[in-house]
Amino acid sequence: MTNWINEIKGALRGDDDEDYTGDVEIVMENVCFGYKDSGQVLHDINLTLKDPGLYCVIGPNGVGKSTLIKCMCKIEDITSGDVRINGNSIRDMRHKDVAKYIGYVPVSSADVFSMSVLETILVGCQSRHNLDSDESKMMAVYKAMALMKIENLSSKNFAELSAGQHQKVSIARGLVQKPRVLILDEPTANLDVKYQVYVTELLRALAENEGMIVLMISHDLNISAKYAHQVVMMSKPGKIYQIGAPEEVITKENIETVYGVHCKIVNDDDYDVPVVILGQSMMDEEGNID
Amino acid sequence: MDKPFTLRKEGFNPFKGDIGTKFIGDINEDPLIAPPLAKIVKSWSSTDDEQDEGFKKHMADYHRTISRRLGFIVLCVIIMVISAGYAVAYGPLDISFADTYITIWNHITGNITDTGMDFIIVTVRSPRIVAGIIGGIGLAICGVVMQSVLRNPLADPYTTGVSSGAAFGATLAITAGMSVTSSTPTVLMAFLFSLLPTLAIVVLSRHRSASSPTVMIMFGIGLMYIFNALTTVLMLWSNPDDLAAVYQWQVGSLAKVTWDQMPYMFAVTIVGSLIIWYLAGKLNVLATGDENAKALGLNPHRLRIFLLTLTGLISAAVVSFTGIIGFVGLVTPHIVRIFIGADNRYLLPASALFGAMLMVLADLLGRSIIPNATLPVGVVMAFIGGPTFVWLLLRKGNKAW
Repeated sequence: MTNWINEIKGALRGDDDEDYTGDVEIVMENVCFGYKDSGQVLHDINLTLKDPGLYCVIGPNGVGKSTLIKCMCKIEDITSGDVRINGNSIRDMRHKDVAKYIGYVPVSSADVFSMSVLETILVGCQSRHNLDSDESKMMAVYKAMALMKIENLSSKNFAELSAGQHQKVSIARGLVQKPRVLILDEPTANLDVKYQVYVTELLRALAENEGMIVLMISHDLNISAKYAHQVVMMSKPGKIYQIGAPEEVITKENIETVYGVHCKIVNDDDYDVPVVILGQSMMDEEGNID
Repeated sequence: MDKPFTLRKEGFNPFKGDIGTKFIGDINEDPLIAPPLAKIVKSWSSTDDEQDEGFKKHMADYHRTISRRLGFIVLCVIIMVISAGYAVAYGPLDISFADTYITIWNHITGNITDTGMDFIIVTVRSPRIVAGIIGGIGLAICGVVMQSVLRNPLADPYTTGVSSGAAFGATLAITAGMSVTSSTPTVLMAFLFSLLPTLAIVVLSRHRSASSPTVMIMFGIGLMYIFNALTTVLMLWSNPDDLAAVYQWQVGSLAKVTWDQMPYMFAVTIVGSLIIWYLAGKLNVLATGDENAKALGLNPHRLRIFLLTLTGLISAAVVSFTGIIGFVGLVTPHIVRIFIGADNRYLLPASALFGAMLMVLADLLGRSIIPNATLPVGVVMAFIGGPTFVWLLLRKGNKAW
């Protein structure tokens, strides 16, 4: 009963006056997380995001990358340990408070009932200040669509779009939230090479220009190596293997240990970044990979 | 933004030139970022936005969409008012369309000139029309909310067990002989039992494993079968007179609603609908999925329970007076979505008015289509609505709802 009263109160009350435009520090301390049936996913994660920049989370399938970022923005409730945003424990924060700091872009999927692209992106303005006028929200939506090159899709129905277009709309929805921390779950999945590069380059530029923390999950080692300021490498069974600058983390030894793939690393002289050239996968005589 | 940009590792320099480990603001210095992109990103950050041609076109498109939706809503209201007028005018004693509204106007202003006419129109004929309007609003709103909240195109008061609960309550009242002298016990029992499924869903969803929308609707369907079985058992045991009464109740009809029942139905439906409309923006967020809702700052579970409780109350209030009227709750939202889209801020009021219009029209047709006989509104609704719905779906031929 009290829950419902709070819900009504929350709906009726305006926003607080706190400033959400300053720097944000996210600290994960000994975080463990497990789903009820499938056992523990995250083991004792310690991670601090303080400096602005583009962070790429890499690692094999099923290693807990998506779970890690969901724990960071309270989509999943951590089992033990703590996540603190500017010193406040996420356990004591409401979803509403977390959303003021952190924007989250999920792996995109079509909704059951789909709205137009414009309305879908407009939903992202939900967590922003109520005081924003409709016009300024529309301006933000327009600029986000321009950034993602989807202005011409504005009145299309979201469900009629291709997977790549869904992805662009999802990213645009994350952008209009104007958060200080933007977390993206595989933003470049479903995109062609041109847009993989464009989106990652854009995220790096946004991080630098706005002083934001942008954290994205990526499966492309070379794009991560080129654009990330910091690479977070995760390994089985749900641990952080190493955090550091790309050329520290994306090394021959690390990739062979974590991914089980032979490779060599060369330096790209044009941009002074490491480039991974993949070799054969590592397996035993019977062909077992793990 | 001119804040120093620090790279974690001392001495590592991804940039050509001698910038060092500090990155001071200007992204033009970063060789990884193409200059045109740098320009776009800077304009994204700036707050003094010039409203260029593209933006003006974007706003014009948006305003056009909104006016189209308002047009649809106005059209629904016009059709509803006209058909309501004809519905009241239609009957054994022929009254003209104009006279109908003049009499109603006179009644409202307290200036009754023809008491006989006033009695026929206001006391005898109007209740079913007003009940149709309120019922249509309530059921359509419930359909929209249940579908959005449970993220399921099949959700409506029927599949969530509300109607079956009401039917069981009414049957129990009738077969137990509680309703011999008045209909109040039937309505009360129907109301109480129609709240049970919602209550059960709310209680059950406290368990984490049962809190997903799909489980909720499956649970509703399970309850529907249980209530239907119980109702059948009662009907098998009942005497023929009661059986006829039960049967009549189950075929939804507006004929039995009276003026003194109206305030309850009106209050619950209108207040509930207004609260729901106020939360339409949040409902949009919830409809995009729980993860999105959390990320956008909502507690999806709490909001879902709150909205389901409200819709449970509204549909109970409607169904317990009118009996089971299917179709409106399920189909109205789908038809309206075809015309104005899935944005709940517009979908809710448009569906409410479309539902009301549909009810009044169906009731009018039910009374006029066969001379000297009345088809219950529920039956007409299914006959007309079913094929129309299928046709609309085929025409649309789309995976999206």
